[in-house]
Amino acid sequence: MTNVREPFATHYVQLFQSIVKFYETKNFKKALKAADEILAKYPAHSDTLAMKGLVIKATGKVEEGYNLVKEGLMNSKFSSGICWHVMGLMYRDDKNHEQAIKAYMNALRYDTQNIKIMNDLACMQMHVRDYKGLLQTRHKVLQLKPGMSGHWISYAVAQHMAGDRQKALVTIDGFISIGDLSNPYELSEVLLYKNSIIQEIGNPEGTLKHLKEIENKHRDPIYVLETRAKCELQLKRNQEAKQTYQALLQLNSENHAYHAGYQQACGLSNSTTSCNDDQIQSLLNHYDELLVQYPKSAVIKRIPLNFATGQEFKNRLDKFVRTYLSKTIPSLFSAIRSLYSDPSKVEMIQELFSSYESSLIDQGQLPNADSSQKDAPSTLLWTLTFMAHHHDKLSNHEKAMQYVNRAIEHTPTLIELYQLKAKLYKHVGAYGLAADQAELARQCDLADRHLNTKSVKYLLRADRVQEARIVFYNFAKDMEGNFNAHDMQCMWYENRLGESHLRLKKYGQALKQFHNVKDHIEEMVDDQFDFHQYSLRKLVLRSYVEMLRWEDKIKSIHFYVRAAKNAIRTYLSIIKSGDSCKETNKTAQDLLDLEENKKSQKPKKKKNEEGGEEEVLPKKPQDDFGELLMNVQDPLAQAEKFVLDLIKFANDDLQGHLLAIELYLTKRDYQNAIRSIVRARELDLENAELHYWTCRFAQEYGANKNEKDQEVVDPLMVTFMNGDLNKYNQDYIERNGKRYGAKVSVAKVMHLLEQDEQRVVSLIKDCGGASLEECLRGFEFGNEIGINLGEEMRREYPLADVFRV
Amino acid sequence: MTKDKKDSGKINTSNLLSHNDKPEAPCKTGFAFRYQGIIEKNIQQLKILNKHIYAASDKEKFYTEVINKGPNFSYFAVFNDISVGAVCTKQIGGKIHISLIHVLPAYRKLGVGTRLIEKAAEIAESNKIKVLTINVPVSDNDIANFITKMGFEKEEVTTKDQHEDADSYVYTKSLVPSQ
Repeated sequence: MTNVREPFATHYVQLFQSIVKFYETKNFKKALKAADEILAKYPAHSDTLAMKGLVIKATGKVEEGYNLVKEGLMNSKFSSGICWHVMGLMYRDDKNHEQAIKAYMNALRYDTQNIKIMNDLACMQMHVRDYKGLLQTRHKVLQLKPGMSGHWISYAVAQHMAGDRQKALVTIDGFISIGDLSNPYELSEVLLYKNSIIQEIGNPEGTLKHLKEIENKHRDPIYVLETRAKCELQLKRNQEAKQTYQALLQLNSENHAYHAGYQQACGLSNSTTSCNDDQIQSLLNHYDELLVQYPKSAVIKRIPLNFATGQEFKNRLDKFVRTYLSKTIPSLFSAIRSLYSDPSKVEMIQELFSSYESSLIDQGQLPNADSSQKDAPSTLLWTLTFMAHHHDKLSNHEKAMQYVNRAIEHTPTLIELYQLKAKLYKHVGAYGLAADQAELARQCDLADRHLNTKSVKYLLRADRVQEARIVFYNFAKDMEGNFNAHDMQCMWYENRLGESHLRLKKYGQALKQFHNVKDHIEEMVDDQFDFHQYSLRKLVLRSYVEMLRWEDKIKSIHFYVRAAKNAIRTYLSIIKSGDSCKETNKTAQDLLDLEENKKSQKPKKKKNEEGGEEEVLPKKPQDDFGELLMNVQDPLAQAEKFVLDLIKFANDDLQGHLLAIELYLTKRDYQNAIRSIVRARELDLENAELHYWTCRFAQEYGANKNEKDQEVVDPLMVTFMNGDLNKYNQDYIERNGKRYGAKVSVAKVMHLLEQDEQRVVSLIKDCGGASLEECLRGFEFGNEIGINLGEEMRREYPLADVFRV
Repeated sequence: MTKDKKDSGKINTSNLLSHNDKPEAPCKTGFAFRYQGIIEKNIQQLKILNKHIYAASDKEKFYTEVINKGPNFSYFAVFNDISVGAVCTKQIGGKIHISLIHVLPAYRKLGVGTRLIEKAAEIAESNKIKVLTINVPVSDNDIANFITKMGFEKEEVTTKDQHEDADSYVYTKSLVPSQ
């Protein structure tokens, strides 16, 4: 120990140790008493000051705690291992990992052999993915105490995550040679972990060999079978793979991955287009055999429908559907829905169900029925319901509505019908009517959480925010303690609430919700911190590595992608609206609602050790309407963070790239803009919105380019545009003239180039047969140039709210 | 249709998610039938059912009464997981009075109505009551036929039905102890 510390009598040594004990058992009062006793005699004792700081922070006085520790550090001239360790602990509890790592590194400088500090440090380095530091730390620990087998495994995992897979294998072998292998499950985990690394390296032969070696020692037969099957497929040992997959199907006949593997092993690719007739027939035969083995399997009955064509398809479909109808299974349409990509199949589906309908109405039974017994009335009901779904999918909105109304007349107590009606209204843009139907459905069964959630979603889409909130919290009344959407990380609610605010131009409130989603994602990663230590101790290695990889890609989950896109749109809108957004952010009604909501929320209570209750103060400053977020200095920079996330984690999402183009154009960053354009073209070449943004880019770039940009942009741009914007525009309309969306984009470009106004207007008025989204775009553009397309739009979508204003 | 063995009259929980009785054996294939107690959480379904019979406005008083009586006195008839009918009863004096019994038009002639009457008889039994009564509007012959088939006898007393302001007959059925 350092000589800065004052000499200590045994009594005080014991007192100091008692502080540590009391702290760990959370007896803060006693810990404080002991600390104060020592400080009475040795007022400048750095270690005691540090411990006292730690205890004080645990009782809630954060700043005081930090100050005490800093005092202790200064007294020891920054060279007390214990003080630095305490500092590190405090930063770690506050999730400030970077600072914690620095503190720990300092602690190690003065306390070089302290393994506990090193383990803590390693956990944090893994958390922030500092692989270099992690490898060093784990290596040191291993060198210090090679007798503890756990250190070998920790080092192996570090090597694996850092990418040194071969070395990891060597280390694991070291573990196996010296380690305590008495627990069969732990041994099994380690061996299978080793196997997974061999597989990752890309060595299917080695993997298979290793699996054979460990045949008697592993305890996860499913994983072994799956791995074996994958490797056999890779090595094209199809006969063996087929057998393995059959064994897997015996364990679980409904697993689509097994079926895909099985089909591949039978020599057939998964996509239907590349199969010739012989292959299809042999596949159907295979599945008929499987059906004999597993007669109750829903998947085995369903998969042949993907491959069969013509009359064969119709026969199989008939059999498949009748089961659903006679057992009144509501998910019939969901089961069939993926077949709609094939127009010939769609026609056959329609024929089949029309025949059902007429037969049921005329004769009371399905066509070609066996007995003279009449079908239950529910058969007709579900046939009508299916037809409603069917026409909705084909965008025949009126017909779908007719069918659903007929079904409601037949059986008004079927709740699904009101939900379906709500969906139909939503598809024609009548969000208010849709919300009413959803509410009707919810009233039928107030105990059903699914109906409640749907109702909340529809209400938010109709911008009935306060109503939605009340419905949402209906389920909170029965829950104990405090319940609010934020603490429950209810990201679907926050996203939709934010979208509603965005539509109503309440940009600050919208941003608050989207940032909430971002915070939740980060919380989720932080919350897993303890697993770094736990997984290694318990040797749950494969799941641990899986978790680390999941954390690395967590921003690709759809909640975050949706929130990121919305946040970018909000920032761009803030920039466009300038100062007016400050007024539109909160209305008088909003202020009233906030008062009411605060009253209904109980304040959080936290029990301290004496059993009394004290209120926990919120850590962040209250920003009820998101004004801090909205008034930020540089909205473009904030938006760019989200754009970079989208490009990295959602690279296949076209909308994300379109927003990126818009952002970079606003920022005049042409190099990044062209990169996004290139990527978007890979995803969807003829996309209408992309066409507009490409032309706008070309125009602005042409006006503002500089030499540096030219080097990067020109070689990329030349691949699709030779500089004549007008011709590019005209070519596009020739290729895509039938789609209304394309017409709108071309009109917008012509307006940019200040061309023939009349042609522009005639283009956007010609909206027959357009989809709802295309009409919305056209309508918006019309408003921008002062043309009210309400009449034309109402012809297409008479019920849509937006066109009735 | 044979009378199935009944449960001992023990009816558990008012939780919507659990069945109140074991599902009855289907009388034909594809015809799954069970009872579901009516509580506050699903009373809306009753209102929807009633829209068919009572063109007049909903009498809120009636529904409050149904909720108060609880799921032991009012049941939905659930056919293939859809509520297609209902029976609501209450105790008046020493008799169980059926204040409402109804089946959707598309689901008639399937034995649902019979089941609902059986349920009413069960309710009477569990309350140690031996008489069922029901009011049938004078003008309605269909219901009258159905009720008579069920073993009710007409008493000539006319009375104002609580739902409609028309006159109606009172029908009673005395329950013989069941085997």
